[in-house]
Amino acid sequence: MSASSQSSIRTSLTRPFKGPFKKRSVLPGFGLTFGYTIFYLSLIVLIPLGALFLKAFTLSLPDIWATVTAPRVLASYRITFGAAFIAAVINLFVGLLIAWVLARYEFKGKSILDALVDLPFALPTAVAGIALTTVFSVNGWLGAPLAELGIKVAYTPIGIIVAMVFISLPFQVRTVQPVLEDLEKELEEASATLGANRWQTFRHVIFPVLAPSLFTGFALGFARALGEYGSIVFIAGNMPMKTEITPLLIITKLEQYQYAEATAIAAVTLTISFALLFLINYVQWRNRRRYSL
Amino acid sequence: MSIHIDNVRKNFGTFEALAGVSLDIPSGELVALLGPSGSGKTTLLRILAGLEAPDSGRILFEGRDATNDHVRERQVGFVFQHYALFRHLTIFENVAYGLRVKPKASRPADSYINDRVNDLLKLVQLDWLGDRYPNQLSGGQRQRIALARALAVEPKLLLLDEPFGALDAKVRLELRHWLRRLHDDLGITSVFVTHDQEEAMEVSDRVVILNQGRIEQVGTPEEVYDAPASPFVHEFLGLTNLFTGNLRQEVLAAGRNIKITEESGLDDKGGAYAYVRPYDFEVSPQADGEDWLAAELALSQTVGNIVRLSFRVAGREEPVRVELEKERFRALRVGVGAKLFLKPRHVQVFSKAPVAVETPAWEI
Amino acid sequence: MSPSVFSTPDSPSAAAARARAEEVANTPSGRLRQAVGEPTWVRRLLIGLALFFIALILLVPLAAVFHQAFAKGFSGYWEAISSPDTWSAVKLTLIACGIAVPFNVVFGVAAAWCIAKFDFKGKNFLITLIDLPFSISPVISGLVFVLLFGAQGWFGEFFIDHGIRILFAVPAIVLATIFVTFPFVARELIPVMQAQGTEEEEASITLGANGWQTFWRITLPNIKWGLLYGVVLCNARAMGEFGAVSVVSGHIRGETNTLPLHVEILYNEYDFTGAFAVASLLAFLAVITLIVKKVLERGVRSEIQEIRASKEGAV
Repeated sequence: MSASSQSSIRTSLTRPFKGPFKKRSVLPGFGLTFGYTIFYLSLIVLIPLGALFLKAFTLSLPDIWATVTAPRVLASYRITFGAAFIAAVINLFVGLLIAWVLARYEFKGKSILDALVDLPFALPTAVAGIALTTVFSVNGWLGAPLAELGIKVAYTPIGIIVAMVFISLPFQVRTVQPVLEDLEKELEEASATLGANRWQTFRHVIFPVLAPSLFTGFALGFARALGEYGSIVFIAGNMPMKTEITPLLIITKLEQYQYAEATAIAAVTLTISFALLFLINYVQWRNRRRYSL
Repeated sequence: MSIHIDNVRKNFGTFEALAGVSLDIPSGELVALLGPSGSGKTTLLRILAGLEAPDSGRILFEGRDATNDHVRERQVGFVFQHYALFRHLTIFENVAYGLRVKPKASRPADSYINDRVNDLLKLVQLDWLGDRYPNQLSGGQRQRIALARALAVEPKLLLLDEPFGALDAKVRLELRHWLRRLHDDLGITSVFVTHDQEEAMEVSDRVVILNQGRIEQVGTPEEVYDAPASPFVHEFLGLTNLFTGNLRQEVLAAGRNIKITEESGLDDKGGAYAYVRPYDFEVSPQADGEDWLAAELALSQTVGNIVRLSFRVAGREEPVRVELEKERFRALRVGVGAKLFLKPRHVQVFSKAPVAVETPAWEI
Repeated sequence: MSPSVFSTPDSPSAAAARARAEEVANTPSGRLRQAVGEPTWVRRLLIGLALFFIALILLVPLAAVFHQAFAKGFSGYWEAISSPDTWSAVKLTLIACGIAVPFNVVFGVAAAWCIAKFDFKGKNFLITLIDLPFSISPVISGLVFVLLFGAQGWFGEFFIDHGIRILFAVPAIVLATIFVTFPFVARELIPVMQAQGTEEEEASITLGANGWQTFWRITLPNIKWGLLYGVVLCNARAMGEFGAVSVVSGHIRGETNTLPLHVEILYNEYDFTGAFAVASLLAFLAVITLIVKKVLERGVRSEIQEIRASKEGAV
């Protein structure tokens, strides 16, 4: 094989391109497709989002502050963020376990299991919501035995956590799984030949490589749970101050025609989501730079 | 089609791929662009094809400025390094592609396409593979199909990017001879890129040696080998021994004297760089005269019919590498540690300092 | 760029690693190689635990849907399914998908073409922007259209003056659906097209083909599995979207109810059999999606891998 100079001028996939705006190419259609992409992106995504932030600022800053820090709103943040965090922590372990088993072991029915992991995003959230509610209500399949232990799930914060675990599980699994599959067997073999036991190998060789993807999966799942609505409203009970999540509060404000207030709360939520997105991208970017070949 | 390349420059960001290259290629020639990675040879080929545009300079086809012609208008056949065969099309359809996409007015009839493709498949001796898909073919077969596909549109110029780069050694050798014969039959002006000096020497009419975006030398394989224009060319074309020192009356002081056998034309007092190829040494158990270099045999390794020897010479860090035929080495009846004498038969001297190049090295 | 469940699930190197592992397992020394793995009992324990969690978190709710749907027997099920309101919900869902999916396919192909086949500044930023709708709460995705087309919205007055209903009508439902499914096709196609590079397209151009010929004859056949994969994911989300559509639909029975909204209404009216019967349609669709997705993954993988194989020369 030759490493000819061609490789250096091939279109690079991850390296940002330096030079004029666009590198010349013989392939046609850049203007058309780029123009259409920007046009459609603006029309569908950017202008509507811009409208949201502009609308939020039709309130004065003190009004915005008062709106987004009202006790009921603060309570909704508390329950939403708290439940999303707990759900993400649970998925950190469950997700790693499932990803590990799917990436490492061969057993019957594995491909069915693998396909099932994506169920939460293929199943409409409303369907997931009513199903989880039924299963975890006091006379449901799982709710009944839990109720006997004195644990009530449906219509309590635990219900919110359960729905969030359901909805964000695939994010954790699907972020960690490819990293585990890509991990060179040789690294572990090297560790074993150097005398490490299995746990030491996991702790010192596998885990450090896995850590960024665990974090990314955590953050992605957390972000998803923050915004989730459909699967939670049915199981949450929606009691103000207790089990009312922020997205529901936005809808409630909308239904009371308090557009500006709904918008202000939405803007806060959106800002947090974008901050998370930025953080995730930053971690991945740094990670790619550190490990890229 | 004759080609005239006039002072072509090309940068990729801060990397200077071509630093003003001018070259004439007469009609019907088979030319090799030879150079190490990053020498600009592939960039030059892609500029000829119209796949890249030069930052400045001109490309003339038959004396006509073609610098701004689109690839489609250039009538070039391009054989990609990894062939770029269309994976979802059969071999037959791959070869027919260029004919099928012609504008309606000039598109040939199906029966013509049929005949033409079959002829081409016969030409590349793969007519029995027409209904296969590219992934069912071996590397050498893919290479020949890529060539047939490029020939289908009757190009005036055939461009090949590392045509044998992805093949294993044996297939590579066969295809080299085959390509040479094909070129002799068809007579299409052809340019190919390679980093393998042996390949360039064996196949081409003329070799263009590039280094860091500049042409070092243009000539027939014999010319560039026998009379390299620069230390770079000499070093790039094969393993060698370098002796540095000052030139005094045709004798290079390099710890030990080396007699320069040919007129060097260099200033008597300047610094000089003398090269001796490993097979250009005489080896003798005793010195009869002044021009012999005392050396101790450090290593010997037999490769087929030749023996590669590595000598230690006093006052010199680098070993002196020598190649002898096996018979001649045996006749010396010596082993490692023996004190012998070396005398160069042929020396090439340059006044310019050599630049570091990757040369094929012996693993001794 | 953030990975998500929606990105092509199997990286080529992972597949290669698996192929290698299979190879190893088939050789006599395979058993020896597994010496670096866990002991059998740990292995079994981990598999068992994973099965337990998947059953608990995923399988039980899915089973519950079908169980509840048939709680009153087949006739009760059929009654709920065949009601006119259900059918109008089915129709509206199909309309929303029928518009949203093609729009996003055209966008996805255009975006992937300019991102994967060309080098330009700000490419990564553009990819991030395309991903934005994934990180926005569905409720907010609906809200933005209320703000645009509501009575006090930027364009609300204009459309109301012209007698065109956007909000609480089909157009807003379609818009919200397009918004939430916006990145799907593009996200699937970009990695596939990037992996394939530009060599085949360049070959096509050197052989005299123009841009459209190159796209239809070379690019499209090469990305067909990736495209289909994106369409399937896009469609699944479009059919199931609840939050965003809920905000803009107005919940008018028989008029602006999509299937998920219809499920909600029936459930809130304590018609559990009806709700779960309709939900079972959607759940069935989800299962089909998972199966088709699994099948397509192989095709997508081959689209990414074959190009590598073809570059490695001899078979």
